Amino acid sequence: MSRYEVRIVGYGGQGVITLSKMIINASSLYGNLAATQTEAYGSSARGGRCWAEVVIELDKNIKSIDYPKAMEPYDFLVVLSEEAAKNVKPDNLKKDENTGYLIWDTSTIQSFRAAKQIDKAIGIPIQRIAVEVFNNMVFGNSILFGVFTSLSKIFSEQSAIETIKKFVPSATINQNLEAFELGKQEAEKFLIKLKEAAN
Amino acid sequence: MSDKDTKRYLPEGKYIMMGNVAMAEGALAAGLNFFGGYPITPSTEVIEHLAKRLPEVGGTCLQMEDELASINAVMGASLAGAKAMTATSGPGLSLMVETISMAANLEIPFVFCDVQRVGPGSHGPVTAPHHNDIGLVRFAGHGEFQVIALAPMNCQELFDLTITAFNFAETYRCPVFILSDAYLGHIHEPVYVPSKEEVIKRVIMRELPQDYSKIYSYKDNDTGAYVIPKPPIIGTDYYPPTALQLPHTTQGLPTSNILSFMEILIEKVKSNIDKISLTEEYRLEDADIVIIAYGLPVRASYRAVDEARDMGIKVGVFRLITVWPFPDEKVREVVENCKAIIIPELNYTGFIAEQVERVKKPETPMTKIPKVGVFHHPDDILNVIKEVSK
Amino acid sequence: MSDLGPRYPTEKPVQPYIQYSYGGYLYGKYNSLFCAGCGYGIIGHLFTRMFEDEKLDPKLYPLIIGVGCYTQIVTLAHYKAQKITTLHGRAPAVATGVKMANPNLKPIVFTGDGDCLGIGGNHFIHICRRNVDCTILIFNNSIYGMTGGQSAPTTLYGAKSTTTPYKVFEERSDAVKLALAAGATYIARTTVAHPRTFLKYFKKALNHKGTSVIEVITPCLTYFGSKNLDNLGAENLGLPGNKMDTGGKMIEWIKRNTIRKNQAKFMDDNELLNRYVIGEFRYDTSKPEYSEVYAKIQKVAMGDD
Repeated sequence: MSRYEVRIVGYGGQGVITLSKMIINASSLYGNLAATQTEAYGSSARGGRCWAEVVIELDKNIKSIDYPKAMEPYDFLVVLSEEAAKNVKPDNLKKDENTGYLIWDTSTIQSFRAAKQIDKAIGIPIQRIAVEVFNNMVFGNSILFGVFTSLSKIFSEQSAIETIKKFVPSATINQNLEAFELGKQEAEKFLIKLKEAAN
Repeated sequence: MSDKDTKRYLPEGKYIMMGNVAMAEGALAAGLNFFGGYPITPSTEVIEHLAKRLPEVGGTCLQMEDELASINAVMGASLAGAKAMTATSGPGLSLMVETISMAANLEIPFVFCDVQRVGPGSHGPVTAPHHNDIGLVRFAGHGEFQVIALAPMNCQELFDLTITAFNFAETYRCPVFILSDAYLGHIHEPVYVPSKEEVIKRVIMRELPQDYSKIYSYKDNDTGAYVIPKPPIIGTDYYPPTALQLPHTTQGLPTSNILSFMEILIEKVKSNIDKISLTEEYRLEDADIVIIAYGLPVRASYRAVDEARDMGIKVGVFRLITVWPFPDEKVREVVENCKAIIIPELNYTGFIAEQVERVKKPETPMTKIPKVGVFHHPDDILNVIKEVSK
Repeated sequence: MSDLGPRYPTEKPVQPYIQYSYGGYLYGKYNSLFCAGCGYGIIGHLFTRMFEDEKLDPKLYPLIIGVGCYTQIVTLAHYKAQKITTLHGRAPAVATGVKMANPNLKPIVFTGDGDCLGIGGNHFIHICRRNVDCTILIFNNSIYGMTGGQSAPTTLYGAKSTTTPYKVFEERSDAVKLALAAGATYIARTTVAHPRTFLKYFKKALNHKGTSVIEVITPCLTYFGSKNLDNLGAENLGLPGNKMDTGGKMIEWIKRNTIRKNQAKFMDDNELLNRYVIGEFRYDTSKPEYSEVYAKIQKVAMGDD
């Protein structure tokens, strides 16, 4: 199975759907992989419980995704709200090498029991960093995207940068690229930590 | 080349599009000039997108006062020479069927996008998919006529099949439905848009014919074939004295031969079933078990088949892209020698299962997998395959 | 008979416009399916006459015809006129579609009181609101004629119909007031008993850019006249009613029952009960026409200005 299953959960307005759209753009439009994005629709997308899923086919010979929803266990799970965190179980994620990552926002989630049982769980105070460094919450998205890009390694950094340029207003491109870089650094720190733990 | 033409066709390339947007772009590529609609979840993105795009290409997008007005405006526009379309969901379709009957009777071409949602009722989980209008569109309205219904399963097909739908409408002059659903309408997928030249090659344009003497379809007595002239355009010489909602002759005059009028309305489509019926076969060569599906459940079926094949079960998928008219002969051929049939449908009734029941051998067992609101997980189908193959 | 002189000619006079009507063009004679005493023959004839006298190209004025007895006007209308017979009440919506798809055309909508104010009320309101360039002729015979005499939204108070065997107890709806409120830009009311006025209004409507609404009061002898007495509309006078059993009596009743707009100003509601106020109610050329406004939007969208 060469499907890469991504799920993002949070509440509406956190950028859940934007992040999923950035992922599909980077992987499919610039990375030339088959991909499908699905999202919560209706009132939940504007404040309630919100989710988005991206399925990416890593095999370049396969031109389309068959089953459009992400199937458990996931390759990548992003959790942004306390409520969503309660429903996460360690079995939700793949146990294989270089996959099965969980990113969660420590500034919005007080306690995340399941995260403690997952080795490849990375807690970053995304919203806090975004507000402290860039003075605006929206940059959290680019931080997350940076973390996703360097952990998942399913598309190149160049694709990611192209995507950011496409998605953000031109006035804030540089700031967003900085945020992306910040996310990447966080991810690299985490990978080093993982390696040390393995040794 | 004028500016509006360059804006009509997107530059060749790959785009990430929402299902509803892909459908709207497909319609524009097919030469859409007029869209009349009324907002209804989950089809609203179609009118939202076209409200912006149609004026750019010199077309008209109107948000009418209700569904009845939308479809009637679409019909008027189609008679005035525009390629016209509307998009709605189940409750809207119910309101529109009266006009669909009339359009079929007058052989007015238009395309109808039905983004199906959970029904009946106007409230509830309107954002969940449910292939419940399949039965309604088959005989959409009073009177007798034959419609064409296409069931895409991904965004690329929503784009491509919308062009096909417009071509069918122009060629066969009958209501053509695109059966999308709430899920497919909101999925984002890459869509490859071919170059402008490539698109234009595919599209049948609205134009006046050479011969003005025949306006409505008729049966050629010499060859026995059904001839479908080009659609008439009001304001030109190629128009009958009256677009009569009565059984009429090929010149548009009333006729008392109602039986042959009905025959023409139905057979003009059915006699061309080879050209209209689009199907797809997946790993069907040596299959003992045949899955017959259309729309979204096809995607889960493909995965389930792959997994079952890995286990050594000989199973394949026969996919209906054209749902109506139902291709009796093709299906009969496919299910003739199989040992079992599985039909995953996103509804309880099993509208296609009923059709398959009609053409299959009585002894061949058939298993329906009904789902409503949530669509089939590959495991749902795989479990049935395992069960059946025992 | 011939002793009675020229007032009662033994032969029917030759109607100079017969050959231009569709039925006459096809069959060489007046081909009408209407009951004796019906007003629609007059309207069909006046319609054809307008196009012939003014040398208008009927192709530019597609007829959008609703459902009612007047649907049969197709045989009386100009033989070159192109017609769409639409569904019950939906004619204004179809006209909007035709106009927007080809702004060179000016649709003429034939609609009735039940068609326009009953089932199609919503479409009527919205075409007036949009000010789509078209002429709407509302034929008001205050009854559902084609289905056999049921009460209409315009049936007069106290009248009898097959669905109101005791009497109509509802207020009638007023097409002119509705059109005024909805925003049509040319609004008039006349009757078939005033054919020259009708031609005048019709000509004005055809030359007007915007939604023009003309309500035409027309008799239905078979289902309205024969069931009701001619004291309708004269309730305040307490007159005994006479039967309206001929076309002439109905026309007379219509004439007596109509009041000019400037006279009506001095009359109270009680006096105006069940009477028709005729005249021109609005002529406004300042309001922009819908397809022209949309053309501007298209220009903006195309980036031309």
